[in-house]
Formats: sequence, structure tokens, C-alpha cells
Amino acid sequence: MVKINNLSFGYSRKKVLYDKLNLSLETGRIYGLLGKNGAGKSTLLRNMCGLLFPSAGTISVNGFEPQKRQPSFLQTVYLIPEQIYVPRLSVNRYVELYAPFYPKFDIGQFRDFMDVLQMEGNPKLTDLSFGQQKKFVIAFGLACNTQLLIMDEPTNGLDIPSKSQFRKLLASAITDDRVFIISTHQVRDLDNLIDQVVVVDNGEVLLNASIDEISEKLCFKLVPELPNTEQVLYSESSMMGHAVVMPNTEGVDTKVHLEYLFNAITAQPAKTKAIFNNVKHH
Amino acid sequence: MNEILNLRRFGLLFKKLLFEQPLQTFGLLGVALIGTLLIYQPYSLQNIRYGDAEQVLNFVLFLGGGSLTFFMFSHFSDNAKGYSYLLLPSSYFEKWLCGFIVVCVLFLGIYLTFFRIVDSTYVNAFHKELANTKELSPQTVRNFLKTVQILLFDSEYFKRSLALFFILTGATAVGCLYFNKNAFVKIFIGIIAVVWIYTFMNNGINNYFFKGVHIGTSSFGRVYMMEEGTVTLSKAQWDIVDILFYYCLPTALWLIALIRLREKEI
Repeated sequence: MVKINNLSFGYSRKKVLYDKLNLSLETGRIYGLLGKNGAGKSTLLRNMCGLLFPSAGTISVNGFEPQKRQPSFLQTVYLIPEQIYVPRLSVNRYVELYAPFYPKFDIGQFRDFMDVLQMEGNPKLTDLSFGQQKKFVIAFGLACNTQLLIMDEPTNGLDIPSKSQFRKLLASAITDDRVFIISTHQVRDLDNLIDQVVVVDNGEVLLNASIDEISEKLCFKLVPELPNTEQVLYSESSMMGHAVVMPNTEGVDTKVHLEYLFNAITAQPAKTKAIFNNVKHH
Repeated sequence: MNEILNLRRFGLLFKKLLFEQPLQTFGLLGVALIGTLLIYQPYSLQNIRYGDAEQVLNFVLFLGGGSLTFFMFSHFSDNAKGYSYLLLPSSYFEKWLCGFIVVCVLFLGIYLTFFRIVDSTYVNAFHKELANTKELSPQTVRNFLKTVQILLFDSEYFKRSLALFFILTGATAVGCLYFNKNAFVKIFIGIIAVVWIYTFMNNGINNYFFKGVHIGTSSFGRVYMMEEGTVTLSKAQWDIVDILFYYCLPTALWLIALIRLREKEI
């Protein structure tokens, strides 16, 4: 679906953000794209949908070259950016004007999604709060049924019930021929939602693995005493004990904690890379 | 699927543009028409002015055309708006064509039609008044009839105004696609700078080559001397200048806008 080969990109010649980055994303999955502030998550997403052009390397999305921004490519991609834009139109008028551009747009689905997100009536979009505007754009983006749906901080501005509804909607909307990519700082919003984690840092992909694979290779435990071992990738102390992330040498099945996972990978990139690469070769 | 121009897709885009920005498109056109009526006063024997039609035409055409072009192409002051515009499933050519048609076909066509109606109404009314007056001598009447005329669309003056309209709107379109923030101010400063540099260089070159130049009156290709006489380009040279000014420059600017839109990153 998305194939990135030797991507190089920088906002200036001196400051290169990505240098020969490789990444492959498959259909039927919800990807969580994690990275620190300024790691280049949004830049990567904008390269994928053709808003920015690579300085070297290639990107292929569904066989298209995004930077050409051909209509047949744009029909298959929908981006929900962190800061959204809505024109001074009513909900129905917006749908009437924008939906025909997306051949797979399903008005029934859109109404259902709006109901789930508790959006009623036909208000003017500019009269809605930021959170409501975001819910509208999420419902519209999902109903477009594009093969690639990219969301940059989609839960920013959503209230607590809406975040839960958002997760349910996404889980119900993913199909075998679609890919959802969610970039966020709020990793807890992705709990029980994503099935693949991509971590980028310092211009490289530190991890691209499924939740199952992560669970197979790492264990997330809460222990009373901090183990004195170099194998601990990350630890965090609390009143309950010590949360640790370690290689899963005993084959135990633990729930992946995204926040600890992210901290472990960014703190010990070489070690975690070795763990995932080694096991892969066996 | 035709990736460059598809009539159905173009129709959808055009409809979206008109419904999404009614105030900018229809509102601005309305302001231009009303502005013409307000500025362009009817002629009367007590109120005879020369060159009024030309001034009104230029003022409204340039200001209205420039502003409308700005509204058509300034999608990048806000990133989210820019994303929405660039990722809308239509080709860069269709997006460019939409702006071009609104400015250079609809606005220009409607405005010139309206201008012609107003101009001919005022001039004809004045001619009737002249025909009925007994206060003026026949010679004065003949002079007025000769000087107060409908602005012809095949006159040199009109052709020059039209060329300037295409140059100004093309430059505005290019500016909107190069400057994301404060585009209007930057375009305005840019145009002033180009005019200033042109004038400065023109005067400098004239003074370098000729002595006794009448400062401030010379135009490109024609130098007025302090004493009697002018120095002008030959006919063949003028033809080249005309081709550059009337055709090449406007076409180049609008083509640069098209290419820039294709390569726009945000």
C-alpha cells in the first residue's frame, strides 16, 4: 500500500530530517505513528499525501507517486490534519459540495458516524466548536472510504466520551483494503485501537512492528523490586512498584503499554532494534 | 481517468468555488459595478470631464481584478486551508483554470459589459443634451462631440489597459502562490518595487544616452526632450515591445502561476 524507499527530506539543505528512510505499510491495519516533538511525524505524513516532495528517494501509495497529486490518487487519500479548516458552509452543503469528489463516499455511513459522535442537525460549520468541527471532519473523512486515511493528532480537541467513540468508529471502519495512520502524542488514545506501531526518531524508523510481534518480543511488567539487569530497556517507578520493559525471554503474554514502549525504544534504540531484528532472523 | 482536465470534475470544483466563496466572487463583482456607478458621474454641460471613462475603467479593473485574483489563489495563509485545497481530488490545471476563468473571463466579461452600458448611456445622454442646447456655439458643440466619446474596445488605450489587467492579475496569482503569509501586502510591495525599479532604470538609461531629457515624462520606448522633439523606437522595435507587453508577459505570468501551483509544497 505505502512503500517508502530511501526517502530523504529536509526543510533546508543543511538540516536534513530524513536520510534514506525506508518504510512499508500494509493494508487492513491501523498504524500508530509515534515520535517526539519535532521528530518529523507530520512531515512524513505530508510526504505520503503529496503535500511535501522528497529531495531523494521514492514514495509509492497504491502505485501512485504522491507528489504528482493526480486526481485519481487524491481520491484514495484523506488527511485529517491537526488544525482543521472548515469553510463557512452548513454540514449538508459541505457534504453536497465535497462528497462528489470521493467516488466511494457513503452518505448513510456519514449519517451513522455523525450519530455516533453525537452531531445533530445542519449547523454552519464555522459556528461549531473546534472539537465539534473535528468530529465532523472525522465523520466525513471516514465516510469518504479512501484507501489511505491519515490522521494527525485526531484526538486533540475531542472530549473524553468522543475519544472513546472515535476509537470505536475507527475499529468499525477499517477494512482489508484500507490503511489508517494515526500520528499522536497522546498514546493512551491509541490503546486497544492500533495493530501496528511505527516509531520515528532522529530521522529514522526505530520500530515498525505489530502489537502481536511487540508482545512476543517484549514484556511489560509491574515488579516490586527493580531487577538489577542490563536487560531492562525502560523502567518507571510508582506507588505500585516498578513498571519495566524487558525482552520477553520467558515467552509470557503481557499487554503492550504504548507509553512505556515508546520510552523504551527512544531511550534504547540500538537495543530494541537488535531485539526485533534478531528474533526476526530466527 | 483524465488526470489533467475532466469536465465533470471541473464543474464540481467550479460549483464548490462559487458556493464556498460567494462573498468574494459575487460580492467583489457587485462592489466593482456599484463602484463604477459611484465614481463615473454622468456628463453634463456643467460637468464636462475628459478621460473619466479611462480612469474609472483602469481603477476598477485593476483593483477589482487584483483583489479577486487574490481571493482565488490565496489558500495558503493557513496550513489547514492549504492542505484542503491541494488535496481536493482535482488536478492542478483545473484549480488554476477555475481561478483564471473567474477573474479573466467572468469578472472581465461582466465588468466590461456593464462598463460599456454605463459609458454608452452617459455619452449618448450627453450627446442628446448637446444636440438640444442653444447656449453653445456650433463649433464648441462639435468639439465636445468629438472629445466625449464612448471608450472603444479596439483603441490603443483599452488594449493597454487590458494588457495591464492580465499582467497585474497574473502577478497577483504568482504572488499568492509564492507568499504564504501576508501575501496581499507582499504582492503590493512587490508591484510597487517593480514599477519603481522600472521607472528608475528607464530614467537612468535615458539620461545616460541622451542629454536634455524631460524627466518624468518619458515612457518605455519614447523619450521626451526638454527642447522640442522626441526620440522613439523604430516601428519594428515597437512591434517587438508590443508583443512582449501585450502577449508574452501576461502569458508568462499566468503560466508561472500554473507551474507554481503544480509544484506548491506546504
